[in-house]
Amino acid sequence: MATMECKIVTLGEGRVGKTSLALKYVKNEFHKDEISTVNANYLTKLVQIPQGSVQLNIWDTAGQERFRAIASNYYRQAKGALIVYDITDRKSFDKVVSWIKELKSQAEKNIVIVVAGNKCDMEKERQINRPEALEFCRKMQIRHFDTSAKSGNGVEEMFMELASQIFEANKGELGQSGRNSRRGKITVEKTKHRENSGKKGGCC
Amino acid sequence: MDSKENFPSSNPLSTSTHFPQCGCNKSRSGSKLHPCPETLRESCRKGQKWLKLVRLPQDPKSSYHKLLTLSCNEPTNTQLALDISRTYSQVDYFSNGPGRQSIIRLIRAFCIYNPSLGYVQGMNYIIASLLWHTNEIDAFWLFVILIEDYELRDNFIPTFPGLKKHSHIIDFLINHHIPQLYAHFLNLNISIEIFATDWFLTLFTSTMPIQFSGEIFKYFFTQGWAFFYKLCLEIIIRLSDKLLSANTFAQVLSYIKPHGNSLKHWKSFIGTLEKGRDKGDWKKIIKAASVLDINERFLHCLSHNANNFILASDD
Repeated sequence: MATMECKIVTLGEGRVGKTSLALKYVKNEFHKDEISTVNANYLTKLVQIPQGSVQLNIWDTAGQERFRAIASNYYRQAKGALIVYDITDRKSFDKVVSWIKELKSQAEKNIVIVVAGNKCDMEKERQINRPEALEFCRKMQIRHFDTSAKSGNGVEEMFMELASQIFEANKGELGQSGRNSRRGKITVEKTKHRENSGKKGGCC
Repeated sequence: MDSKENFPSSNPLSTSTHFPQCGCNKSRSGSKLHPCPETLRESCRKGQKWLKLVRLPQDPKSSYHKLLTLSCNEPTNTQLALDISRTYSQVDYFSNGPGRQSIIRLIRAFCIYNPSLGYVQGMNYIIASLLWHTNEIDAFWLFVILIEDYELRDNFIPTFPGLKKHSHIIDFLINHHIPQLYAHFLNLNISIEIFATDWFLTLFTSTMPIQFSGEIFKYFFTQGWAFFYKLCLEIIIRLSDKLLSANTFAQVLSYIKPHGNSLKHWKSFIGTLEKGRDKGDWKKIIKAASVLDINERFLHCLSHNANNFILASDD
């Protein structure tokens, strides 16, 4: 089977929901008072996408500014990054810009970045207008997703998109043996593809 | 959201209802040795022992009181508001009980005491673990002493030299004691920082149930980092068969860095540390580590060597 193994990293201000999004996706768990991440957590999940399968090794980093100095340990060699902000917290959105800049100058050249506006179940407290966030991401040519780690809304779609963009960006690196075996999996994956195509509503 | 929680600007110690939760002072029959409320605010017997091992300031009580009258900066308050309900969130006493205010007061006082260092995530676990055994004033000074006299400062300052140093030493110890595992880690591109940084930052207090944190301090206050390295090595030795049989980075990490902080996760991690007939039990593991035979002079040389290595790599 052509499994592309890749490292992705979650980045963003403290308490925006980086751990919660990763946990919701990998284990389908949600805890209201998720413990604060010291340094970084590690989670892994095998994702089936239409083109093949991707083993996402997720490094979920701590949000405190002090740890930013060692964040490069985690995004080094990462093929994807998920930058999270909290839609009810303007400051966390402002941090997204600086993370994108840092990744573009310091990380792998073809790193795939997606942005998550998390806590979209708390619409009433929203501080960042959706059009503003979308326009910003459009300019940066980055996909934006509205997510809620609490309800699960948008989470699956976002990680699927991340996995498939990473696959596209790195398929040249897949070994010969990998490509051959991938052909054998196409039937199974087509079924999966149909399932997913119906769920596009979560992203924007 | 908790970040919008109303933090009172002055939060005097007199409002504290905190008392040690450890139960170390219980007699065998289960009743408290000193049942009157005043003495319940005293640190437990273990805490008292740690206090005897360190050098306290002249007037710890009034110095701490003085710090509480000053207000700390906004970034600290913001970060604290984010973290407080997420420190031992499964322990009610800290997530919702009186312990919560004590952690807040103590961290604020520390940020005033040492503004250049300030509050860094990880400190919250150590502080809560100290408070489990001691009153607030004692916890504060024990924490200050850990930072100043036990090199914890190096784990939290912006370039994190402590993390580099401890990783380097553990790397060396693994190479010396379990060379095949050292080679295995090298093959799989696994560095010590990847799994042990939380151990360094919280002195294992975020890795085990709070009830066992006292055992860590018991040896750390007497043996310092030498004990810490022994504990790391004891854990790695216990896991070595599983780690050697793991063929991928992800598999290795699943054994040595289990995600989560629930009782379930703790049980499964400790379960993996069983050794022969010896069931996994933090108290036993900590005790076994404390008597692990590593030459103190050898450790001293390693530490010296690591300091030079860090100096050289910073150049």
